[in-house]
Amino acid sequence: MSCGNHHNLPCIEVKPFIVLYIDHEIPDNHQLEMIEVHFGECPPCKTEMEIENQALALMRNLLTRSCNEPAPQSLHEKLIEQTHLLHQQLAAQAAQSITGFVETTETTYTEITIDGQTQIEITREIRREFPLE
Amino acid sequence: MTRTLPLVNRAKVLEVALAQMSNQISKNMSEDNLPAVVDRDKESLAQRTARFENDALAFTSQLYSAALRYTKNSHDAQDLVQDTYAKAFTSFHQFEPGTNLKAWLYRILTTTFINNYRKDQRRPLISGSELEDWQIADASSHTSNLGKSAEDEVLENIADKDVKDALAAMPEEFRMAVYLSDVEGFAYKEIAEIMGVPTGTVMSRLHRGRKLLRESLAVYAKERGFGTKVKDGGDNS
Repeated sequence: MSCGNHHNLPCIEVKPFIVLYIDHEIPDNHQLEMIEVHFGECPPCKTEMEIENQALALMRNLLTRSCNEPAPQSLHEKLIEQTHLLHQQLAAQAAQSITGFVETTETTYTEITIDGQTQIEITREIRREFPLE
Repeated sequence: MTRTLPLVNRAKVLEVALAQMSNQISKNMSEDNLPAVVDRDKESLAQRTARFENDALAFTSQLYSAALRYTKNSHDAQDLVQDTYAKAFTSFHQFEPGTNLKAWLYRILTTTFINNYRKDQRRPLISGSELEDWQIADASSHTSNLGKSAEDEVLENIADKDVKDALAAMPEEFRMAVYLSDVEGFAYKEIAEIMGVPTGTVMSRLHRGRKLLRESLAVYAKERGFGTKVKDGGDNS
């Protein structure tokens, strides 16, 4: 599409910039100014830009409307839980690097039934591992 | 439970206890007087976790929406978001406060997806011809052949599901570029960083992706019978 008039910047050179202009992706001020001057002088190019702009805006609205799906509550909860777990791991690692040992606690519950009598045995083992020096 | 420690370690433990005490003191002091700018060197782990929960987890729904578009199903999307946040948490000390946290999270999301979730990981990336393709960017992709008001009317009637299906049917690279630009509003340069490709490649993918999406939406509209006013929705030139 060309309006047949002479411009400092020919229509054919403006075309690839139309999308960039709409996306605000022309970082060079001088270039931007030249494009804007062209739009001022050339109604067909300006119209083309406006149509393109409207079509894009429409598509953006459509996409934003369709793709807006909130995360399930369970995911929010899982993430908080996960963060706490990772925090504890990091804290344990940090403690290890300060204290020089890792402390792990292991608790076991054993249920023993003999002649109808049930006993529960609870063992707690605290283990400290010292790195070899 | 106590245990007699070897002498060497006793001395160490004492040293440690003292260090912890002085840490605690400086932590309490800084809590009373929180600096406006986060100083990562002075920040305690607890403070960093709190900052992560406040700032990073606020993007959960946004990341989930993007993950849904990447993985195309809710189960994988939730896993992807969880993996993303696990990675983000463990490298949160590397994130420079004041820079773009959203872009940082999207970068982790996208990289994690590409490396771990993509169905066919050996699939070659789109050919190198895409750059030239962008450079000869044809004006024929413009929608001037649709009456503007007609296109508005047609597209506004399209159901959310059709839009999502149209996106899902697109090649992954195009889908990502369009999503990151047109839904998330990232700049080309940010998308380039998120996807790990040059800016020229982003332009090409975005340009072709938008064109594809427009064409397939026009097809959906036609199928649904909304497109009666449109002379020719498809663009075969």
